[in-house]
Amino acid sequence: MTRSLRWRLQLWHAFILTAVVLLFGAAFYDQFQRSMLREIDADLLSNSRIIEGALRTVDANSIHRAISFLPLDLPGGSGSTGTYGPSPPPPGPGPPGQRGPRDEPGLHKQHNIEDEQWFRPKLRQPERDESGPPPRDAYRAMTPRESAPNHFQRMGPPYYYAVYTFGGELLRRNFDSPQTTFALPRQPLTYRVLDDRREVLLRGPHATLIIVGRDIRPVFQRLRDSLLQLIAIGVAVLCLGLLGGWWLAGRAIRPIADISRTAALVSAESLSARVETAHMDTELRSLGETLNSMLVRLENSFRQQTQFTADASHELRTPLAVILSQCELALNRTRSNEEYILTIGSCRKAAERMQHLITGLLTLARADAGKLELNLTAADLNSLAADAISLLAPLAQERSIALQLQGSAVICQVDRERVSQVMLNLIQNAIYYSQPGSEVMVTTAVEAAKALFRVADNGIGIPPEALPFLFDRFYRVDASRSRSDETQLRQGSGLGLAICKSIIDAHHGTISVDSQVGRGTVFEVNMPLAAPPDSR
Amino acid sequence: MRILVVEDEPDLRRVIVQALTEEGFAVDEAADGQIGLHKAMVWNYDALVLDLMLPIKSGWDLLRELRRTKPTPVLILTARDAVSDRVRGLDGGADDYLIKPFSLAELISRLRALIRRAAGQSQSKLQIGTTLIDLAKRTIEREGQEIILTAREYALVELLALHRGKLITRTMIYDHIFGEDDDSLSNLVDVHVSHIRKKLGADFIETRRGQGYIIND
Repeated sequence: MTRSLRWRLQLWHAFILTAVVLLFGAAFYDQFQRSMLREIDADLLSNSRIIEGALRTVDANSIHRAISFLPLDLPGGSGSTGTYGPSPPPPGPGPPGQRGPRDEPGLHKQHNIEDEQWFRPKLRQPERDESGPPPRDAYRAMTPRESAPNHFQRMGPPYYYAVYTFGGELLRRNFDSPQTTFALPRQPLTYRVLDDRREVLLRGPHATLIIVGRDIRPVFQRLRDSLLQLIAIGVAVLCLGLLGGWWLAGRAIRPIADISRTAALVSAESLSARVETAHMDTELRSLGETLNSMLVRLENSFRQQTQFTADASHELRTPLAVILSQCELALNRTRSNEEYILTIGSCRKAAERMQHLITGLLTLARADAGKLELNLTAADLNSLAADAISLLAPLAQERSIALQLQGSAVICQVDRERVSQVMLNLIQNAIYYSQPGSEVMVTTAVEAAKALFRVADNGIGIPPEALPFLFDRFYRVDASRSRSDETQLRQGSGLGLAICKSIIDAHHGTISVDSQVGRGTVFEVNMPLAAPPDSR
Repeated sequence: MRILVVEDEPDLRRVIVQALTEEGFAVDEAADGQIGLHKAMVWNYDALVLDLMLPIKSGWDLLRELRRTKPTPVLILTARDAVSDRVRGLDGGADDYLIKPFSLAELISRLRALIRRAAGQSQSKLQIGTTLIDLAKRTIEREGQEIILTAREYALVELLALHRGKLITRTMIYDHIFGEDDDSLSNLVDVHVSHIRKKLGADFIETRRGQGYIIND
């Protein structure tokens, strides 16, 4: 199962999806938590600024007395039974003031009636605040008595406050305010978390420290609730994502299954199967097309191989049939000596033909395997050509064909015997396919830093459609040409040019042909002047 | 019986022709498909030995064109041994298929079978009255007594016996018994017939004057 692509894809998908969901959830939760804290901090700060603003309006010397305008009971507060107020706050060192704690119930009552006002922005209280929006200026313009209760409307629970002197003396705090301790912070503004509370510590005017805080347990409760929701959503997303991934992986590998089904159909007998690529996506189509082109090449080479085997077997069977039937006939009854001589001669001819064919096949097989051994020596192509011409002179004379050699000495590293074989083959072909009385021109030269050997005739030529196959094994331009009684004795195997090409290839050279029907044929061999780097 | 051998390999052609001739067949030969088709169309051969890889016109083409007009039995003799080739040859109208290398004895025996079947005769022995003709051994017995005939005489008896009950014209006799290279004098058939009558009885072959000869059942 672990080797299944689909499962591996699914596992990776699950891994990545889980990581993404976790990361996203964590980031979201973190951001959510921060934003809630920021909101709380902003509220704490703005509340502490209110107190700060209020304190600024009083004289430093009368701070103890004046601070009594800060309400002890915040709007919406629970009075003396505050959550954090196990003990009622001390009345403060200063005089309780005219309004004193007794006034607070009044304040309290008033704001209880207009409870909704508590949430209203300050700007929406034009009846109270005529001087306009800027709160600081508003504080300055207001008497403590006027401004404080007004703005403390926004300071209800869960907020609480406490005002200390730098020395740690508690000046004022509301009823709900819990007992708190502090070390005087260096920065003018500090936030801290105490148990379940978040507090802001602000250095106020007249060497006071304003602490505004709130209980953040409800916030954490909300955070926990949303975390649960987040987890539920994350699990749902994960499940859906995995299901989708499974489906997608199945879809993605379906063409692979198609391809493997096609590949399973392919065998030596049926190489014609092809992958259907029309409906595939680019990547898989290129895989399918690669596979198809491989199948085409395989089919072609298989067909060539089959053709080659059939041709080779045909070429071997014919002389074998001659030998066997000759012998059978000769042995049927007593024959005259002349008949025996004729029979044996004919058998020998057939055997020689087989030998010729087998040598050729062996040469080709060695060349195919890259094991054509070359005995490289420095040789003059011109003198090799001269040797070949003198060997073929009787044949040329018989057919009234003039053999001409031109060009200078061309020294290069070749296997003399094999290159001579190529020359003999090419010149002999030229003689066979030339009209009597015409000329065959053999040229050796150095051209473009390569040794050149050219055989040109004015013979019957080769039709253009035959040229691409000329060097193929057993290829015959026209069966009628090579099977005449005479030519068949010399070659007729159909391997001559294929062998020439193998030999020249082994020399890292090239052999090419140019021909026009009725005008003649030119064979050209190019070989490197220096020894080939690796002589196979 | 007259046979055409179409084979481009000269040595093989020579051997086949010689072997068939020695077996008493009248044999014509052709070195390429075109000449082969021409001869096969002009003459009424009893069978054709046909190579497939032929110059100028392939054996396939020859067979196809021959089959448009002639039912001459054809034996394909080729080095192409693939099943597909054999199927193609037989479906293309050939009556038999023999792969090189082959045995001459098998070739001859297959040719005899082809000729026999073409004449509507599946047995290799024919009984006519008291005369028994063994087509395989090429022997004739009369009342258990073997009668020695010349090859030509036997060929004539065989021809008439294979088509017994039917009139065989002198032209048909010339067509089937003499090859193209044989000297066929106009009275040669009469000479052969009179020799046969001497050996097998005067009433063995009946003469239809001005028409030909017939062996009655």
